[in-house]
Amino acid sequence: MYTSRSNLLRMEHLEDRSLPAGTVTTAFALGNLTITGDPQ
Amino acid sequence: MHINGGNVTVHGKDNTAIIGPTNFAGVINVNVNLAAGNDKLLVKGGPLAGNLNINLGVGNDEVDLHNLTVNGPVNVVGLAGHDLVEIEDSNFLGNITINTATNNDEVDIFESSFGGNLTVLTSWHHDKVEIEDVTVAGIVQVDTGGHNDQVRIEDTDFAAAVTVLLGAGNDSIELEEVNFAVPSVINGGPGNDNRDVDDVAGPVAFVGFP
Repeated sequence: MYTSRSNLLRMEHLEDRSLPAGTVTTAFALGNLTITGDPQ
Repeated sequence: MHINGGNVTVHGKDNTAIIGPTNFAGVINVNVNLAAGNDKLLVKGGPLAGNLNINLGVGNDEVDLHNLTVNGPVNVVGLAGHDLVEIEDSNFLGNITINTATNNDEVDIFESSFGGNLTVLTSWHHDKVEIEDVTVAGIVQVDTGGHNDQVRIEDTDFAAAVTVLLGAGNDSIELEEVNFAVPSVINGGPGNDNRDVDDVAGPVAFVGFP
């Protein structure tokens, strides 16, 4: 006698893979704030 | 970027990562170099005690100076790319220069006051400059360079000399409710230029228009 088991397969969404759109570098000295972007 | 006196906070939007501190105290001058790529920058708050220098770099960049007060000179300089510079609800005590360089650029200045000189240079290609509900105490120069450019000035008071150079190309200028306090010149340059003037007061000369 055989018993049948049906395996239900489901698709699950992965979490969004968030990648930086770009990077910005900050630096501060003697009252001067410098903000520099990247080439993106 | 938010300025609150000497305190400045830098936020990275749209997944922009920031390397370095994001909160600063005792800030006098701000220098921004966006480098290459298509970038967006919003600066608001103030007053900033010193200079604000923004280098857009190559790429299609957008700068928004909103509800901002700067006591020192302001320089916004672009390179190639379709740049958009928007100034709204802001006050500038020093001179301000906006130079978007080549490609089709747009400069919008709304509801703001300028204590010093205002210079807008958009260089080659089809550019658009809009100035509305603005007061300027210093000398004004708008030079849109070659190609077919559009300039619209509305509900604005100029206390010093104004020079608008539209350069070569089929350009258009629209003036509505504009007051010129001293002799000023609107020069259409070569090409089939068009002017639409309504309710303009003061000594202004039009050159190069039919």
